[in-house]
Amino acid sequence: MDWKDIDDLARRTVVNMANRLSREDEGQERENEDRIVRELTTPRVFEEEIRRRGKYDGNKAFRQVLAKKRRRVIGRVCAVACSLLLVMCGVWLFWGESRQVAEQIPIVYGVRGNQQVILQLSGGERVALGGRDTMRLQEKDKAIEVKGGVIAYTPEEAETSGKREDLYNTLFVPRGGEFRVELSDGSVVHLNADSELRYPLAFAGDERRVYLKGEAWFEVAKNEEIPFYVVADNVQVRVYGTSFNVNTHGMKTVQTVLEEGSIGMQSLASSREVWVQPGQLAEYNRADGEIRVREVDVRQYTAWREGVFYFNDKTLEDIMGELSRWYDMEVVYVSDRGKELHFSGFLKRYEDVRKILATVTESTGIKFDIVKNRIIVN
Amino acid sequence: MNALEFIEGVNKKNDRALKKLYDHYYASLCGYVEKLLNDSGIAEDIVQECLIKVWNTGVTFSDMKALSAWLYKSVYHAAVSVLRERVSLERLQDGSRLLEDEEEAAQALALREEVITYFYEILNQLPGQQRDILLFTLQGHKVQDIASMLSVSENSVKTQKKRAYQYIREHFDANKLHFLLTMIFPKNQFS
Repeated sequence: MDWKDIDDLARRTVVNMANRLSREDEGQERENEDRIVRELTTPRVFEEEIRRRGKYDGNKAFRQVLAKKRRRVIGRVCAVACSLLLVMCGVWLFWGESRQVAEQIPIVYGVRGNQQVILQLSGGERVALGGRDTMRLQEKDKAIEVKGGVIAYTPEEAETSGKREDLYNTLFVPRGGEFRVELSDGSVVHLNADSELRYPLAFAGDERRVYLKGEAWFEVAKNEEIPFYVVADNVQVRVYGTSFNVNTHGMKTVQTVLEEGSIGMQSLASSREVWVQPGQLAEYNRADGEIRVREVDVRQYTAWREGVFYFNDKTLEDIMGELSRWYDMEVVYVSDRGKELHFSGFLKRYEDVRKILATVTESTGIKFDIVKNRIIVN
Repeated sequence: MNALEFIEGVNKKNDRALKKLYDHYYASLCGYVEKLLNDSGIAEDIVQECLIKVWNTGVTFSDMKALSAWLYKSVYHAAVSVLRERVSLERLQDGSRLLEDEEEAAQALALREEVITYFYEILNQLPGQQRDILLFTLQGHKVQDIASMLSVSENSVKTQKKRAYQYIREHFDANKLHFLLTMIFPKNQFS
């Protein structure tokens, strides 16, 4: 071997490595396997190597040299350089944290901060649901159980359904909160911060219909005969049994992302239903009333319910919007310049906001100050 | 930017190409020197010094091969001289020829680092599920476990694995010589 062979051999070995990983007869040794392939495909070795490299920041090193070279031309050029560095920096962060995602962060339902989750009963009465308390409520003949941030309605008996008049409850989850609703048909709705859901105590008739403002993850119990509708702002999503995310927090669009099954989305003003497949995002544009569908990295839209923020090439403004809802803090920008910077990475949702911001600062260089209930972006 | 454009950019000291130079080589060279010397602080100094040479001197390269060879060889020699100094400082006799006789082993180690870099880069451009499946496989999970973790069928895991392999094979096809870095972030962030 010569130094000159490294590049060629590396390319060839990568292909061998992919080959080995894709084979079905895992575990069986083949004599002609390259030692490197064997090593790197040994469980966790590759991961360990990547982790070990995490401390070497090529972007920072590049930036240092660039800064020396360009000392005289600051201003605009520097802003451009910074933004491209920011774009690149998310990758290592993502890898560093991704294993922790696999480890499953336990979900903490309830609220951080002073605000309360409110349940409005069918008669208009409002009950504050303590974040972690256990509570039993009675609505007509229906028992409602609240426990550790989960509100559960007793399942419907087949004979009684269809005759009941529509009695609705509404759950309000404030900023900084997160709550889970188990509906009478067995469907589960996981409400994100700053969201509300209106739903019947029991589903009657030939459809199941709920109303959402904000963001929620739905796991709809299968029932081919009785479709489930989510009405969110000007949009209606029709499902039969599937899991998906609906978000009306966007200024410009209402978004639906599908993980499995299939759903139809239509604007209330139109009769045309758009079909959405797993892995797709359907976006209702508030301005022109159109629904557009495209392929996306679904985890970006659903990671929140696993206790993680996952940002993939998101702008700082979007990211801060999500953090402000979750931590119930106001975001103030010293200048607009940073808003459009892109960033990728995993952050833990239950971490203290200071820790989260420190992580962002570490990889982007953007500094934050916290004054009372405000995050000031420098 | 393909391999040719990249090499041309490096030769012309174009910032965009130099940025890619850092993306592709910085962490792997550092990791490499760290392994040779068992010291991460010095590793960064050595690598930075070597990369700045590419930037500030007239050195040019005919192709990727030449560039990889030059970089690894340079940091290897720098590491050896650091080691020599250390040894003479400590007045040890035994370790003095430690790395000189082991150029072969040092090359194999360099190859390993390059494989990690290329594999990591290609992983990052695979479609999400294929990437996850390869990642889980690298963690030692079996097809069966992966299928249940992702709630898909075992057959679909196998199919995705095969697709990932196809993709990787095509991209490293020696005739095409795709240069991967361009595709990690598909949008042009440099304009």
